[in-house]
Amino acid sequence: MKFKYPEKQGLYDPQFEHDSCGVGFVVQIKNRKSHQIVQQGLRLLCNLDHRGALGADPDTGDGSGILIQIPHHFFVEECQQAGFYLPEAGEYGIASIFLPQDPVARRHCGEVIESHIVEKGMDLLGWRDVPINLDYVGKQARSSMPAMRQLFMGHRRLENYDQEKFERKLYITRKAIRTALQDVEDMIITSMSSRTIVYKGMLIPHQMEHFFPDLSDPRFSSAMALVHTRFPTNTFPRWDLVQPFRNLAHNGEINSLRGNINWMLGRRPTLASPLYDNIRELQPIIIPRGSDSACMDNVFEFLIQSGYSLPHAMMMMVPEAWEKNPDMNHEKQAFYEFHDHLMEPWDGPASLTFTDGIRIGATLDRNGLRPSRYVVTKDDFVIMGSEVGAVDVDPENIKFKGRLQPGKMFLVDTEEGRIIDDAELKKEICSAKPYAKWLKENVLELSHLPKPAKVPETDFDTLLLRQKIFGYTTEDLNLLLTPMVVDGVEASGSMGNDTPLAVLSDKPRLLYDYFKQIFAQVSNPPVDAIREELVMSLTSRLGPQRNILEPGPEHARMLKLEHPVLSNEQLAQLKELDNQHFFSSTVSILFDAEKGTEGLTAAVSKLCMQAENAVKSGSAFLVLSDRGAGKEQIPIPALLAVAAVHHHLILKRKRYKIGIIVETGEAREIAHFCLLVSYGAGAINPYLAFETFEQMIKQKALPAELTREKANENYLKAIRKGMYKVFAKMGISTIQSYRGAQIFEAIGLNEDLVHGHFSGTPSRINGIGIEEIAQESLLRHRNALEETADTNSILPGGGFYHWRRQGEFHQINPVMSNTLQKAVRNNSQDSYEEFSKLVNDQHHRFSTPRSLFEFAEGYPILLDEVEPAAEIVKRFVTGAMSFGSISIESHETLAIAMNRIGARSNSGEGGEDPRRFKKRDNGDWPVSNVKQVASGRFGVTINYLVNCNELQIKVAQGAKPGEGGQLPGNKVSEAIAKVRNSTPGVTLISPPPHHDIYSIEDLAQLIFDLKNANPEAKINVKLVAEAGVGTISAGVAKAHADIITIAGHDGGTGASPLTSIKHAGIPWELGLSEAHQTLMLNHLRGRVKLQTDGQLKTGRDVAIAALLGAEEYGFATMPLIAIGCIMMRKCHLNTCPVGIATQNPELRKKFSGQPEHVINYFFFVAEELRKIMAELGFRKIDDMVGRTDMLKQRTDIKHWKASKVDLSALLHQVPAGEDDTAYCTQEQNHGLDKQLDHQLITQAKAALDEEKPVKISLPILNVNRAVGTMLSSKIAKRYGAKGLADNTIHCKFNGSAGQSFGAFLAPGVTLELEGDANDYAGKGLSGGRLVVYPPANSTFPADENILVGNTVLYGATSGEVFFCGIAGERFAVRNSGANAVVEGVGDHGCEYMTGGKVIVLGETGKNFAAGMSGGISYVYDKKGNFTANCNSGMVDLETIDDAEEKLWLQKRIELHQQYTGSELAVNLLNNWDQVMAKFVKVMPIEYRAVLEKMKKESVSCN
Amino acid sequence: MGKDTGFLEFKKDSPPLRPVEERVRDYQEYNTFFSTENLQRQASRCMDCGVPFCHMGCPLGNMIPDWNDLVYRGHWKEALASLQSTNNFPEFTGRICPAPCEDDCVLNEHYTLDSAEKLQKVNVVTIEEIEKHIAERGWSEGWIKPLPPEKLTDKRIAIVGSGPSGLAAAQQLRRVGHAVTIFEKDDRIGGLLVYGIPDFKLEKNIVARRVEQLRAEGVEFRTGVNVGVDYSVEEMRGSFDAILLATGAQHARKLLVEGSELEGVHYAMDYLPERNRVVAGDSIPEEQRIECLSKKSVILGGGFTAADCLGNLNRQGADPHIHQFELVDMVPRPTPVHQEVNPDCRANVLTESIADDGHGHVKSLQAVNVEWKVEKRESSTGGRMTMQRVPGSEFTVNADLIFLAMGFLGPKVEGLLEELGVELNVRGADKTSSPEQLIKMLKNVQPMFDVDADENFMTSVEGVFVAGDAHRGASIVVWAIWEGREAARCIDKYLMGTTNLPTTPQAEVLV
Repeated sequence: MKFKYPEKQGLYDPQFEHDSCGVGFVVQIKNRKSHQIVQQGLRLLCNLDHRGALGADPDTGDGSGILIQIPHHFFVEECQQAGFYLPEAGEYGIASIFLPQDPVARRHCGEVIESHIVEKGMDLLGWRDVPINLDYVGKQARSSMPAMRQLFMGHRRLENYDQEKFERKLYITRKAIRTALQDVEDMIITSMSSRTIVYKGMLIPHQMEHFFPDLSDPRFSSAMALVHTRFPTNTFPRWDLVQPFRNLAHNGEINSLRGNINWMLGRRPTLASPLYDNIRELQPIIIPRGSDSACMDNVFEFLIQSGYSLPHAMMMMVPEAWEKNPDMNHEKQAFYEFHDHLMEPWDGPASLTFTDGIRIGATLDRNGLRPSRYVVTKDDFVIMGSEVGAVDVDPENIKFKGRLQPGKMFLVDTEEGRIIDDAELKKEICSAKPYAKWLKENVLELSHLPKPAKVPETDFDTLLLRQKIFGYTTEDLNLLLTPMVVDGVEASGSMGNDTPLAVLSDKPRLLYDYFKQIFAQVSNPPVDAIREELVMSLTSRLGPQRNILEPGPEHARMLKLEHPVLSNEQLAQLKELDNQHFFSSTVSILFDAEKGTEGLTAAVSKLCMQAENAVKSGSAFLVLSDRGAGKEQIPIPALLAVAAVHHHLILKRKRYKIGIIVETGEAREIAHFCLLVSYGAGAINPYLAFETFEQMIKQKALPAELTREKANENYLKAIRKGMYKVFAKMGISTIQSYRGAQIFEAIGLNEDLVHGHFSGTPSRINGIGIEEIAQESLLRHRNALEETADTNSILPGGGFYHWRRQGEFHQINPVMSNTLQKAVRNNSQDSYEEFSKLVNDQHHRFSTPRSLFEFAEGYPILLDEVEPAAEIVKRFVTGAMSFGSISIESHETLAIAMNRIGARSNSGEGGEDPRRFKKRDNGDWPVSNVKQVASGRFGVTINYLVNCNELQIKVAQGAKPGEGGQLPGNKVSEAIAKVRNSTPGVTLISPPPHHDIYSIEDLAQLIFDLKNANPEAKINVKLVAEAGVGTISAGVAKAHADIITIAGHDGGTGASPLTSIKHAGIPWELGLSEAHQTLMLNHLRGRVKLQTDGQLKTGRDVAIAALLGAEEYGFATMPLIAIGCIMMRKCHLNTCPVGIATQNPELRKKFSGQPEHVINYFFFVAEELRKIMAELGFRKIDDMVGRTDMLKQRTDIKHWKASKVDLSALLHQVPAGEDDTAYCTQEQNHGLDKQLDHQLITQAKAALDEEKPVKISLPILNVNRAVGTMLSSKIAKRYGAKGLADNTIHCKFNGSAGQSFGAFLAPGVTLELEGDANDYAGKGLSGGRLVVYPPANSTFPADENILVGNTVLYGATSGEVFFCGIAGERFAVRNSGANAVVEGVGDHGCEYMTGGKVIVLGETGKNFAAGMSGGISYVYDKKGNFTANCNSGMVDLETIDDAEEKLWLQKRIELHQQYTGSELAVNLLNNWDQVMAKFVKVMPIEYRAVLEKMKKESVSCN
Repeated sequence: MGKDTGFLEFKKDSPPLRPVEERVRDYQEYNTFFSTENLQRQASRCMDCGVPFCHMGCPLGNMIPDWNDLVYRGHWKEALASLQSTNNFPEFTGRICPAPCEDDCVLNEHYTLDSAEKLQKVNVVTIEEIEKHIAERGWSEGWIKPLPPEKLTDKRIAIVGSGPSGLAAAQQLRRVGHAVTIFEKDDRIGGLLVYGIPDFKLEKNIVARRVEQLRAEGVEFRTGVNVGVDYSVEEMRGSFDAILLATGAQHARKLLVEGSELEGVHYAMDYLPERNRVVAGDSIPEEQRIECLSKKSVILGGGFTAADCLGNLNRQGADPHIHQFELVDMVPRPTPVHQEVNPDCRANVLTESIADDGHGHVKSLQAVNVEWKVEKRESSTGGRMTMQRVPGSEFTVNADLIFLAMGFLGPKVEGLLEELGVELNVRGADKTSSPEQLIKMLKNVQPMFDVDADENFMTSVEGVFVAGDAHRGASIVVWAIWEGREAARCIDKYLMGTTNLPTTPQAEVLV
């Protein structure tokens, strides 16, 4: 068995494998080695078990590992037994090696390894077989288990080098062995060092010490243990990817990986160092086929072996967010800025632990998206991990408890025997070289350059012709560009995309349209580019790069750009620049119209040659220009030009020498800019867009006051915001990381094209090539030259967004919607048939992949034999649409209809009025039986959660994956505010990520929480189709989701940026097939139901979905059309004229939909499906799930583009393994039976049954997660939202509580915890009380120590908490009603808060109150630095003047003191008057206005 | 685009028609114009629908939301450009089109729930009004100018008939450089625009200025030439590379009852041209005039032709108690002329006979009420309608004049079509007929028919094309213009191999 994923097959591609995990370390600061440390490391590992995952085989873990210092004495004795002797410690190295099981191959490897060691001048000391116990490894893991051996080698004393050099020699040797054995994929050297050794395997943490008897040997001692447990998306045996690696372990994701790899490849020729005889030997620095963490380890060890210190290398690869941090000192800023010239950040959520055997440390990425907690003990131990409490520490022994903050580093130096904190550590590194001086003297900035002599002017005479050549339409001007230039914002739209994929379109489409944005979901979170802008940066550097191993002043000699869009003046400045360091070459990217399609191919080849020549000439910048496009000359698609040059220069090893600038008339939309940058462009000058604005101003098409300058400025602002948003979707924060990262999937381009010019881009549907692209350009050109008197004065009308007869085809067109409405209103089978024919019969017009399919010939059966429609409709669900996005009338109509037929409607994100939970007198039931849990958590209370039979976690939405949402205050009516637990008139923001899902193990936690909240409900995780969604699905299945929904990119929306509607995500056909195939490959398919949605319309659509692997089917747009929607695409404007997507009472009167309309529709669909089933010979839907053999691609297609499409990857069949089924047949094991809550429920019987007060006291551990939640579920089911009387159930715990302590806690429950708690404490708090304080016998000052983890009180709706200590990042995020007292918080406190009151008695981190639209915070600003930490975008900072308010505050603090015994509270109350004066009141501006208005109204009522 | 809440803020409003008492005394247009401000407000009511049903409902595919928005924002010139990109003659359609777009307007079809309000188009966006204003602004500002072709081809095209279809085709073809000659049998250019539509709906200077534009663009007009009579078909075929038949559908449906040949019974298309000539100042011999003063009149038919008769009768001083009977179950749609005179409008009326006053002149009309029933049929296309007399509902009305406005069967076959030998479609028939066969058939029955053509508007005779009413049967002016434009594109392609002329496919074809 090889160490590799299954081959790329069907839609499965191993490149999308992800993992994330639990990490931690234990270290004895004074370097006192002991076996206890190893044991503690293993304990840490076991207690992080829930962060790892199990595959289909319950005994096969996804990997656990431990890295320790070499236990010298142990090995001395062991080797003696093996027959050889070891020299002194540090004078020999150990290679820990995975070898092939095959004896021949193994022997071959051994020989090669030995020969290299000898060749490098080392002594071969001997081999040792690592003892293992096969009883402790799972079946799957064992099948792929390598042979594990250790090789010992000594350095020859006669040579005069130290251990550093020895380590480097070992590194060089290992690289050389790797190269020599590159074809032997199952040979891996897991460590090779004179200091450290790694033990790891495809094991569950608790198997470790049994599987490796070495680990339990008392002689096996170390002063440090770095551990890692893995939760990857796959279950394919990859022993090699188990962490820790040689130097690091990583919990997270590197989102910018593709770019990082390419740039690393690009800078290969520059690398040089006197430390190496032949640096070429180290190539490839990044071993192919590694995981992101493995690639990172490769580069990290390369840097440290090449002379960088451990922290220095880490700071270079994972810099803090330094650009927008006013508090950062200049020296450090200069350090980071300088290093930005050397390497782009490895960007993504990351908690990294690293070591060289002497120093051990940890760092967090700039966003702090992974938890890292640590404890320092009085006897010099440091325990650091993803969770607190994983290793028992006597409270008395605790010196300090802390957490890693975003971008911060923590290092223990065992040689120096001390902890070096972030400030000291970085100060030393940052002041080592005069970085600021180097920058000042060398950085080139546009603002310093002279005004250009000549700037191109707008040529109004040819403008229209050029606009047409570049494909401009009036829609571009009106819908896209106008909002950008007028308001500086990206245009919004609503409803889904129903136009054809570019490759299926009749129209010539721009090359950009063939690329779809990839976005973060589950395994990594998107970033909130608006509220958390401080981590984002568009600053980029352009120009020749130099050897990163020998940094010097000349490295700073690059052009610094604030953002990638250049004005005409700026480009002219650059073009005119001519000195010894900087000059540019301009290359035309045009081809002759006369030469036809071949002209393009030739032009691209020529372009690449010219680019190479430009590099040879020494140019710093290469300008690719399509100026001059006109009657004779056609522009090469700018994206093709950029990507071709970028990859050509990488291939020729010349890319590092030049910066690429594009001067193009083509780019205008945000997606265009993103694509150009993503494929290597450093800067873009969209000259035609600028000219267009000038023309619009001239024609008075824009507001009179708008000047040309202002228009351009607004446009840049919109582009900037838009680009941030697109990066953020992928969780990338900086343009430096995004550039070249190729965060796109190509759809419908052929292999030659993708491999030739877009190498590394995922592309699963083969399609057109360069010839058709040329044809599109030629067509556009010809249309532009059409000169008839009536059309030559205007642009084409478009039709890409709104339906137009001359424009692009829309699946939902007037004829189709009229026919459907006729059918459902009259219950007319004839009309339905007409409708389904219109949809299904796409003989000349293709739009979706399914339009290219036809059914294979089956063995027809009688229609009567097919399961009845009444059964089939139970598999139908309506899409998640919130009450708020649609009217209550529409929402209830859908719910009633679905309940009548035993199907399910979905609440959407926005709570639900409990009035709807009960059946009406006429038997109608307006409840939504699927309740959605989205990132805003609006109205997500325990009562909401218990009133349904399915809970859906919306990870992403088809129309805008990776984005949040916003309901403007003016739309938040009283009714909406009520169900969302907010204040009418106050804006509600849904953040882009769930702040409790930054990784797959976090999702597992949320699933677990929800399952506790409603054990009867199925948990559904909604994903959006994109390349890699299959591997995500496998991870989600392992996280114990019951249902996985794969949504297509074409799903509807109430409001979304047009860029997202059109350019993000892919059709469900691809996503669904990929998910189904990958789940089959993983033997996980039988554990989950697969659901799909995205413009499903007819029985044929459902049949295809079933054959591709779905067993449940979601519909949203069609049921809306059934109840009267006419695709106005006005949802975002609240002006829906048919009363559906509006809250306006007058418009709601226009609603004429009936439940019968929906029911009729679904029965029509089911009956149509039955006919197809009979035709194909299927009696039950279960039988047809995944039967792609019953589908084939049509062969009768003549269309010039569609005929090139190859969908065979969708039809790939993964053979089912033994006991596997292609549809869901097993229940997930949620592990609820072990819950502490069972004890609570038993002990609280009197309270639950008779409302009598009870007191409970229990110990608690970090493995006790979601404590109190199941208890709350019982209360809510019985007593509804009001719960029990205050303090009816009082639980006292001692210890460290696991994650989600008190999640969704119901009224009447108090959880009192003496100890500390992990992340998500008080999540969704629904009226209960949490009290946490340090153990009585602890000695550390509570208010300086971390007490509760990150994202505490997320989405809380009511209740109160008292925390005697500091909380982590994002305290009270999206709180809408809970009250809290806490003694300090991390970054982003009170983010997106809409209600409740939070009192912070200590310091806050950065970005406090970002996006906070309601509620009030009171911060005790002792040091007077709060203002700098507060994001004042939506809030005012005030003093407290009102006496009543002062008194209230005092009472709360007194209460805090009573509950927690806080010493800080005592001190504050003792000096109350002085303290009071230092309180700052954080008041959302909008909230205050609403409160004042309410106050006024109540006065006038009285 | 548009004003998001315009439709909620502003009610539908149109410029008032001229006062009845004033307008019935002359033949000038009864329309008036809105102030720019008023019109822009009305334009702001357009919602810029994601699926604009108006745009679907307009045969021409006018980009209605686009130009509504341009008007709202005051960009008249751009609005005109957009409008003219699909419509050669918006000043005609802005006046005389029955505006199917407005029926389909979302504010009417979906937003208005009350069926009576829907019928009265209470909430609709006044699309036609806006169109008319755009066109007139174009003329008054001098934006509408002749656009003679820059390059000429060597192709010659003959167009027979100068109605809206022929004119639209001529303009399109000329603008791509062909030599275009229009043959018109009458003395004025314009077809039904000048000899069918009364001046009070469309003043003839409106037509004349457009004809002038075409002339300035180089279109050649030959009036008074009845092809097939005055000018041989053979000669025409020899002189031109392509021929477009745009002769209209002039074969009126006959009233086949006793007394229909009596004096005082007139076809509408005998009456209306005469009136237009009089208004135009032509001298018409006394004996050829139809005198109406104080006459009791009956109009048979409920369409626009009937309404045109009504307006003329009223202006000529006919007895105001005018009867208007429609056979099918549809009360004549009220038009402005119905407000002027309030006739006795009835649906479901079948004329049984016309009585003689003893002098060969009409005395009275005998009729009976009928009921329409749908025959049940299994097929999905639904049932056929059949008519039954209502026993005992017979009635008689006295009449001096009876006008027959009962529709048209198809083009005139004798002469041109006959000589060309183009095949014809007969409604209900499986295959096409030759002109001879059709002429024979028409002696016994009254089927509807049209000139057969392929999807490229080419008739069964190579190089001979057909457009407008002759092709699709009598219809409204927008269809005529659409046909002319599309046929022109096909002719251009036929002659040149490729074409740059635009096309506006029908929505049904698109899906």
